[in-house]
Amino acid sequence: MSAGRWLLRHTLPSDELVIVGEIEEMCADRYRDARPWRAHLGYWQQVLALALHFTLEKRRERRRSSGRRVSGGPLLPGPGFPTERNFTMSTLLDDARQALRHLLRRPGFSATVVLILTIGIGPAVAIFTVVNGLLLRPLPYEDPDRLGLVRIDLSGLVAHPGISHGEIVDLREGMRSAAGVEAVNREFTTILGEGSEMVPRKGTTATLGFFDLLGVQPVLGRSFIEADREERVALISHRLWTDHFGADAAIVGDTTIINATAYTIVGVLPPDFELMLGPGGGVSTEVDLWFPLLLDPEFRNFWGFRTLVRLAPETSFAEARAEIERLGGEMVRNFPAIYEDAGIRFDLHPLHDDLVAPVRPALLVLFGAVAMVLLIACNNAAGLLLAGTLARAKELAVRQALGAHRYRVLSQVMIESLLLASAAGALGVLVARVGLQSLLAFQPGNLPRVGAMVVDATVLGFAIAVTFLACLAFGIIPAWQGSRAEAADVLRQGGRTGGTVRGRARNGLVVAQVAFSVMLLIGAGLLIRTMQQLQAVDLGFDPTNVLALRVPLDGAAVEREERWAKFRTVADEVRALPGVTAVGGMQETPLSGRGFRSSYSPDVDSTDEWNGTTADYRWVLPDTLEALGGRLLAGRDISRADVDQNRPVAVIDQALAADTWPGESPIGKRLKVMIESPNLDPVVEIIGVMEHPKIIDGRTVPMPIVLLPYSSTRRSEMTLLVRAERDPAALADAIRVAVYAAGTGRPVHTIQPLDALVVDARADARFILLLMSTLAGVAVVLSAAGIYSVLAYLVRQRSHETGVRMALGAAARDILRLNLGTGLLLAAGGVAFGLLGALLLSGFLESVLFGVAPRDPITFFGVALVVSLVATLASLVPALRAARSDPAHALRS
Amino acid sequence: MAMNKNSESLGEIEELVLLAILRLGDDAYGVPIISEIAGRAGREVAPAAVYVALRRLRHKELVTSWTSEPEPVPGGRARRYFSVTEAGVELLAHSRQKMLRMWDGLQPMLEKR
Repeated sequence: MSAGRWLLRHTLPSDELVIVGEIEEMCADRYRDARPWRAHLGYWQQVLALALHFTLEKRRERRRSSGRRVSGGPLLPGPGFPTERNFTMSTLLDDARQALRHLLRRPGFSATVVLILTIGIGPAVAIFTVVNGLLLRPLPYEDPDRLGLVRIDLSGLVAHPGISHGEIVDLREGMRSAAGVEAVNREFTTILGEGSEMVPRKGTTATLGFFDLLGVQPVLGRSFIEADREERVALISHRLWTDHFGADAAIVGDTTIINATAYTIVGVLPPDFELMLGPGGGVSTEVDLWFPLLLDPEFRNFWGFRTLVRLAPETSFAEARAEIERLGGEMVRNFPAIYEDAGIRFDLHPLHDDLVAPVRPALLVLFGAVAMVLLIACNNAAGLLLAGTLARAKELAVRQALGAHRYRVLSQVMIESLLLASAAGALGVLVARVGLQSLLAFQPGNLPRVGAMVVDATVLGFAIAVTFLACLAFGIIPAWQGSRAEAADVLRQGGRTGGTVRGRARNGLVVAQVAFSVMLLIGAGLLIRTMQQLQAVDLGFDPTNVLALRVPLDGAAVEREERWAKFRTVADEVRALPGVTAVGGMQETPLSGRGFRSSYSPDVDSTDEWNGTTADYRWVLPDTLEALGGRLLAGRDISRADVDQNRPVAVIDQALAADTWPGESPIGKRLKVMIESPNLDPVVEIIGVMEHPKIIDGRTVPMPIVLLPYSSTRRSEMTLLVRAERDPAALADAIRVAVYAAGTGRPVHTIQPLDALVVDARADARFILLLMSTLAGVAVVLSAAGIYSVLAYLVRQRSHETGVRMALGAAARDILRLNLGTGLLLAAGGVAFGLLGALLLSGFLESVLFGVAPRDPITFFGVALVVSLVATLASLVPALRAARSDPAHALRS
Repeated sequence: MAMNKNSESLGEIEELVLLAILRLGDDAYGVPIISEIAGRAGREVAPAAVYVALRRLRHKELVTSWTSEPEPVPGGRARRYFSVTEAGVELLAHSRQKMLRMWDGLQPMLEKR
């Protein structure tokens, strides 16, 4: 109520203040039984009505006492009119009314300014919503700032997010700085249900205390407990509970068939639960089933378990990091056979930082870009408002000459700006909401926390702050200039020119607009070149007309031979379909995940488990290179006979070949692979060399790839790669039926064309490119409009001068040159400053660029050319109009 | 006549407010005046309009006012009480006469409809 009291004290006449108490009494009585919000609303309704009534009443009294009606508005002084700087609520309300009336009298002008500002504010609010959701909002866990993710440097891997069972146990026992250490496995596909009801769902395993560590409680049932070690239990996601189990509360305690085994469902996780791990986390939001992960302290050579640490009270990340590094050193000493050559190093990353680290640079670049568009928009609006104020210079000067205080003029022009900015701010929030929804529909690559990107109080606060800043940015110069109008000067000049100072302000605004546009266009240009480079990347395989689908086997086939027999039948059945030209398979879908990573050595007698080399191993079905469209440089592909007889053979890429046997043919050479598997002879013979297929992420060449025959593993799920003559999507149903007919016992899932995966792998670059291009396009249009409007205004101001010149014999050509020259000079200044700014700032783009230098001369030159051209066109129209004008008419006007 | 400077006629709300003050007697301050008008005339008047009318009536010297001491309870508020001046009563009577004269003889016409 205190705000209401304050408002009334400033609007009611001093002898009416007793009303403040009476109105409160009345409201207390009237809304005694109403809900609080209704009571508040009612109170404010009364307060505002009183403020309005008494403001009008005071005005009426003033007029009546002066004995005449003042019709020219509050800027014209009359008796009782404040000519000093004595602002009261009533003068401000008067000014607001006057400003509103003034804006409504020029709807075209007002709408243009609001539109321009909305174009600036909307994107800024939208990108801030993303920044807020990703960077500012805390993660949805208990005390999330004290959670960290363990990452290791191991052999060739840097900041790898997984560690081994033995290491997790060591950290649990050794870390004094940790209140808890819990782990989760990478996700895998499980099959839910049986018979014709089987559906594939993502699942993973987590240690018993994992959810307690996060502070996440199931909404139904319970989390894992010690007794679950002995039982087959599962926690399910809220989504699975509603979609699959019809939100049946009785499901807790019931059993369900998962992977052909009965599991008891012990709990349902909250609807908004989402496990958010950073890059390489390997647990997506699609995980629906959680099983207990039991740690085996002896299991030490598989680094696959994502480990979260909760800091103990009063400890810092620095302390925990020091401790974890020390423990890593101890492990190396205790298990030299495993760690000695690998050089393991432990690190602890704060969970939130780790999650947003990969998108932070792109986000900051975009934030910079929208800030520039906002500045351009403010600048543009300032230009329009300045022109508007100068057109009123005569009126404002007369008012000041008659005694209106300069600050009143300043205040009125500022209030006009505030009204315009507020309208634009409200529209901007709307634009941001709608725009963001459409942007996120583009599925911008691997953007985490999409669910947190909503317009909340922080975003609204930001929008209000931006609106006020924008109002200051574009309103202050026109207001200041308007209030400075010296009556004598203006009247003497007949209101024709704006004076040199004002001219300089206007020119400065245009130069700044052009400069910002140049910077944005260079950013967009660099990203377009990045996209070109990415598209030109030779993938080393041909993704067109290839369908990738996951094929799981049921539990009936246990032995390696049985499984291979099933996959062989699958390959035969699918190969027999019309239109299919080749069928292969791999344990991971290309571009969707990494293979098994381990070390290798040309020294076949080596016993080191790690020696500083790392390869990405892929177990493949026969003819995989043909199906993938890979290129064999020497030797042959893995054949059916290789798999049938489980021959110890491998196909390597040219990078590994050149590294290990420089200048020699590797065919027939022997390589030791550091993989422990009962079916695998660790010494393999190289039978083929292929061009490196960029199947890891389509971009970089991070590590060599080694293909091994399927027979040396016993994986029960493979990605089938089917190459067809035409678009293989049409074959999807036939393939699905053929696979099932082969007797796998489980449905195929995740059917994707390989070229779509290539597009996905470039989604982040494409998304940033899309945004930057849009912003740059808006910037160019706005600044062209800025140049045009300023020059058009200048030409109109100069019409008298032009008339005189033409009357004295100047040719149309000279007039054209004069005006065009002014426009081009401004543009040149803007381009120069823009190039300079881009040189300074383009370094920030480096992390999102690929194959192009941040100071790429072609882009810089091209942008300078484009902007100069646009500026010339924008200047040409008003310049031509001036040159064609009739001198007699100009002199008379 | 004492009406020389207030010879202008009363607005509708001003008239209602004057009548409410007369009815309320010693208890005539803002809140009950508003309730009286609502209760008796069945007219929901905005409190702000009533307070503005009271101010005008005061300036026209048709009412006098005095402010009470705050009520002797915690959070007790001061109130401004009103009473109608002689000029006010005279103006009301004048207004009533005017209306009655205008109504004179019209009753049968209303009943016919």
